[in-house]
Amino acid sequence: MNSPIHWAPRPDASHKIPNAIYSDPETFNREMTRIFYGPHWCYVGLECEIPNAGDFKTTHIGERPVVVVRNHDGKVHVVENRCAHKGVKFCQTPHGNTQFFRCPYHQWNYRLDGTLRGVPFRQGVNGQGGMPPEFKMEEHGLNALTVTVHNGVIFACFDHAVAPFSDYLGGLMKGYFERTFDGRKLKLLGYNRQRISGNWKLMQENIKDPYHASLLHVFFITFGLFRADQKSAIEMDERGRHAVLVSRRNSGGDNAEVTKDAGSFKEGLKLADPRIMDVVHEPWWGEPTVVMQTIFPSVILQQQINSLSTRQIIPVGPDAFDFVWTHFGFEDDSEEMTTRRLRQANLFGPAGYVSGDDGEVIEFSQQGTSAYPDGECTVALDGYGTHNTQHMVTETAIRAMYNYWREVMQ
Amino acid sequence: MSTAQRMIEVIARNADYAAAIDAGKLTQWVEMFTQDGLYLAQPRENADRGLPLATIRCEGRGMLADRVHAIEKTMVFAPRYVRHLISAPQVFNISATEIHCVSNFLVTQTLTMQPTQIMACGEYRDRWQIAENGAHLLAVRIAVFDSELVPNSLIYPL
Repeated sequence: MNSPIHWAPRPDASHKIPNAIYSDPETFNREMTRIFYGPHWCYVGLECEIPNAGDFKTTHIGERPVVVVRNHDGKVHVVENRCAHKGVKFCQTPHGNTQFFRCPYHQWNYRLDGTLRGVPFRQGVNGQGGMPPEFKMEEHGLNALTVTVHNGVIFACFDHAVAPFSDYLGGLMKGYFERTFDGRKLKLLGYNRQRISGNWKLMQENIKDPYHASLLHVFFITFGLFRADQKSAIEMDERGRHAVLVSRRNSGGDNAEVTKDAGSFKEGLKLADPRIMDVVHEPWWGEPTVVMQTIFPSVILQQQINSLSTRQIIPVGPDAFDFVWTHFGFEDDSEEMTTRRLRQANLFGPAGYVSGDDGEVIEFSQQGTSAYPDGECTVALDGYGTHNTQHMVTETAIRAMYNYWREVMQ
Repeated sequence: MSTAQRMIEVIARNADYAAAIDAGKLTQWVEMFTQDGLYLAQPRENADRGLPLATIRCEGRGMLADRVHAIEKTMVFAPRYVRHLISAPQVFNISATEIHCVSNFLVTQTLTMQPTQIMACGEYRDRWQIAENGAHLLAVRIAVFDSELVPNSLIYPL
């Protein structure tokens, strides 16, 4: 297997994906360096998770642990969870509130912005030992990442030269981002966490791929939440890395043309308790009832009817990723709306009527592709281009992502 | 009934609960709840922090039956065995009509041609309702699971 060949641009075959890129360690290491630790904004959380001064949470960017913290002045910082002294992952608590960070090993302590505040025995003890005179506190802080907070959503980047977040998204994608996140205060509803035994890119592909949604997900098809006959669109930023899958729910039932090919369609399936599908149109939606936005490389933003979540992708080696779902509503939601969002959450997460299917098939993809690293996948639905479409019978956004991926990786 | 007899009754019902799911007789699982019985499978993280999100939320037998229907007819997943091990209950409160108790659970999962893995462990926070005919039904079962990461999918109920 000659790895670099997988990374070269393939203008002649944009619809071919080499199987090896899902399991090759060299490819994975290069992705971490160039993508997750390179000039790409990675999602780390929501402001409503750390509302007060001193609130913090831990998470990962790629495989690197970081701490997201709100400083006393209200500013959000993201610092490496790695003591500058001996590399200890000093913060072991998933969330909390603190005045400063202290490494348990030798008690180096840091301000919330990561600057070094104190080092025990710096001046020595009884005139003996201590740090050398040239030891400078300002040179031994925690590595602080570049941070952007956009209407309540926090992104961070190891590369300080990254483009401003608005430019990174591009105007079209920013518009969709701000459809949900327009500055309203968010209300945290809770988490789901799962480890999926598949390469992280398979999750990005899954949400850029409307083809499967209208075939695999019987629940969607049957209740008219997502079908090939719906008015829909796939739109991307200019570089093809981010995408939205936009759709409007229709009334459900049987439309022969879209259900005849869906062997999974179950006519006559009815809910014993329809409250789970008690969809109430929210004014901010506009026409679409579904907007799924993939922000390369680390997050999917979900509005599926009344269910809202961010889905963070945390790669764990080439063969697995952790998938962290943060469900939220808005601070001014009525109790009924909160209950509705919680009920509809049955569709999503590791036990989701819809998302359960995705975790499983991603694992099946990994099993097949990793066993045959010299093989290739073919994503030629709707041709070879990377254009935006006004329908969902397409794999255009997958091709676009890999064109960008090859640009970065070559 | 004495407290000891009530405890034995709960132990017996939990054995039925485990057997129903492990044998794939999910309709029997539904019938272990009262008409409006509440079942949640909830990450401990959410329970501890007072966050209401559950991984599975069934409010009443209708939603429970819909969950069963989804497992049996619509969801796509690799075949697997599951097995529930349920501890004796720690009983907090007993009246003529209700028992409040907590039991630990361990659920294993065995995928085809794979070694057995621990799917989840945690505790059931239960309120059993005692009907006039003596039947014990679950008015509330909140399965709070410790597992910080679900190994891919949670298909069968905890």
